[in-house]
Amino acid sequence: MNENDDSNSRKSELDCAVCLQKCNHPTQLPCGHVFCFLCVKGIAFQSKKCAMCRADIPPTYLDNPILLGTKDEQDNINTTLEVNQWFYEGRNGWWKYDERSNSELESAFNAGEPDCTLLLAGTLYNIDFQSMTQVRRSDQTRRRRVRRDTPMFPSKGIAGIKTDDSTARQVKSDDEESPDVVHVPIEEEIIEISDDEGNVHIEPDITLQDDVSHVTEAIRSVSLEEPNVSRSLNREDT
Amino acid sequence: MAALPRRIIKETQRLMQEPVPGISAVPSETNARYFHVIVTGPEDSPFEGGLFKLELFLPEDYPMSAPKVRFITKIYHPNIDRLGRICLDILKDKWSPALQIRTVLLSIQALLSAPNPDDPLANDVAELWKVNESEAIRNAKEWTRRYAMDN
Repeated sequence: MNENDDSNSRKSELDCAVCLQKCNHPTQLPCGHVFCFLCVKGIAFQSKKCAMCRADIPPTYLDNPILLGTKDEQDNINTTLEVNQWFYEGRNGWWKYDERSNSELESAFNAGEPDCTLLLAGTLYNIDFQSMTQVRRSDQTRRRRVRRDTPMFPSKGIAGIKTDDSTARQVKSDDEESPDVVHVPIEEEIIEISDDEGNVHIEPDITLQDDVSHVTEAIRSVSLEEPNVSRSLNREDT
Repeated sequence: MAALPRRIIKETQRLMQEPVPGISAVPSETNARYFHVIVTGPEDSPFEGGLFKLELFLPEDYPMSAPKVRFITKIYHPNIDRLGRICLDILKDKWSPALQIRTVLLSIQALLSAPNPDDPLANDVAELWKVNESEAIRNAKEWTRRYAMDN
């Protein structure tokens, strides 16, 4: 059983410690730890600390995040060019969903499911395929239009990482082994962090409190079970 | 209906495939975010020989917020109150999304080995633990025998 620890530490070099998957748009915090871009967004808004070492994340970090471009990522992008692309509406245009969310949306859509739930930057969103809208589950007033289109449809970038100025692309097409550091300015917060009036309101603590208060209550009153929430694990594992 | 984030699926699979010695965590058949947990009392602690049932719930914004964990089996411990609520920093302000179900349960098991009466949740227990540790340990052994064995 002790060998497990070894395999854990080896895995953690490849996987993001927050989502436990391969780093998607690897992003490096000032302390040096690397996570997916969307995972960094999640922790930057919620705990505001690095998930590995608890070093504070500067409030301005997301204005100028350090993205590590790798060849793997390049391959990832090429793959997604062959499939349909999902977009969500931002202030002055559309953003592509990140590659991983895109494939989840695509498989739910192709399976004929009415909607798809995504965990984006630490928050659950429901994407309804009938109305083609994305709604934050904890706040139904946070609503955005979504669309399914060809990858060529004009967009501002991927998941809040602005790429239409091609700066990032140039770096990513380099064949160097070591990751390049790219400073990509983020024009607009993705996923409901700023609303369309431009008011930035994050309030993670309040939202969080609201979200879990019923759970806390449930714990105090002995039983936590919510029988209506059922989903086979195997089914999810595709 | 709520889809299960891949992280939860991965953690659940690993808990099944590579279980932590002395700890079992099995998701409920009706709610994949709710786990039935059994922790064995650590050796050389007053809880040795006991099997302690807990419940663990992953809130919607897990892993951004901590799992909710509670002892179901009665336990005599200065950091666990009579409702089974646990005083443990990583379940509160020291939570990090890099922690997992398994690390949380290991921390709880470690808390059984190292009670901390200076940060009490059960005041009467903590008080006795400070003024008369041997009697407190006797109580803890008695409760373990009475509530955490043969059930």
